[in-house]
Amino acid sequence: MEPAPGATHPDDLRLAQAALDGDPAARADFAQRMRCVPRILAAMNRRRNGLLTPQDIEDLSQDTLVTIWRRLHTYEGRAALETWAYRFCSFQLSNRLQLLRNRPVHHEVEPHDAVEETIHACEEFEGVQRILDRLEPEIADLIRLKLYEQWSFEELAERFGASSNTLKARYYRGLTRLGTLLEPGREEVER
Amino acid sequence: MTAAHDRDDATPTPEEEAVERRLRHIAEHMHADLADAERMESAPGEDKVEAVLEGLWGAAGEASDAPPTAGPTGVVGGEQGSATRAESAADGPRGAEPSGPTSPRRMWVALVAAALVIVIAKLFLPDDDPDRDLMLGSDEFGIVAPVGVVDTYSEVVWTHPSAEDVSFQVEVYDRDPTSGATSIATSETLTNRDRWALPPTVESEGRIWIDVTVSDLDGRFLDSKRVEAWRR
Repeated sequence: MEPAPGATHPDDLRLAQAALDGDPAARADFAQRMRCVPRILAAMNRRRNGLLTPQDIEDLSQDTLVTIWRRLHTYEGRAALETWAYRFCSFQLSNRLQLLRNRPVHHEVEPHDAVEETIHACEEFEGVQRILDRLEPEIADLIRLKLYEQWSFEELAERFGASSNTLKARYYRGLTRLGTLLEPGREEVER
Repeated sequence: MTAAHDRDDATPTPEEEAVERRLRHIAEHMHADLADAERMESAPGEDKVEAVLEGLWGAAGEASDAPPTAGPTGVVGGEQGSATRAESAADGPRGAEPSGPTSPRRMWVALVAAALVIVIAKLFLPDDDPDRDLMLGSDEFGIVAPVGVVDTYSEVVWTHPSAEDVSFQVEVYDRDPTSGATSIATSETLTNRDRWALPPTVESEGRIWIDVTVSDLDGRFLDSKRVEAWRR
């Protein structure tokens, strides 16, 4: 089937849909792409003082893959599969660290500040994703492509069929809206 | 502040620049993680990805006791597959890997079966970790996202993706609530990101049912969800 018109990564969306439909070749390709999950988790862990053991990372990878497969039907091709998977990795890592934090036995041995800092970073990332989900899809796509995938305004202009200046105005308008949602108090003031 | 809706220039305001800086900072972490991941030669569990996924899509098509929230059976746009595909995909995912008589194929099937057992065990059975009394899903929960595991040490952080201003009511049953069972534990009203742990007084073993009701702060019903879980 044809991907939805809003899909910025139609090839990835086709792959996901074919994998869900049971296409063996697509499933093999999808599995290959999802090898990024343990790597992302290991990279996140390494950059944050190695809070989790290799065994934890392996367990977490399996949990994350389970969740990704269950939620794959919600993938709309609005980000590359790896970027989409990153959100699940971040969410699962945050969950796992909160679990560790809540176990009294770990309090003395875990680097507590690093745990808190990582949980905060993951929650901030997830918070922004949730706000993007609430924005008008085209504006959210614009922000995701610009910031997460580092497209230039010229590339965006070609993709969206509008001038660079028009897209800049839409992008900054989106940031204004996003800013008010990031800080709910401001929304009241600006009404 | 400049009214965003009637602006026709493409020059950011200081507020917009501040938001952009904040988002760039978040995005930089993601880029750094993804770049590190790409450079990595191997990671723990990477060699198991295929087996885990094979087990999952085998389970999606074959396991009759799949968890209540599992399986994208209502697949978006599932009416057509690749034009080169041999079999129909009209009704969602199945254990689609064709089997054959060759030895490598048999080994592959055995590997898939082993992975399936591991995945199902991971989903349904209590593990050896004494802290893990109650297994809950996380993101697959849909409307509510608890944190992994509930027991007398850890707690669930209840969140709702649509808004901050919501409250949660949690009821736990040791028998299927549709049979008229009485709840064995009830939470107080929880707000977004409140923590709640299953009370230690709940002693029943085996399968339990958790009903979560989401309301707005005026008490108006927004959503509800029932999850089956396992308590040791």
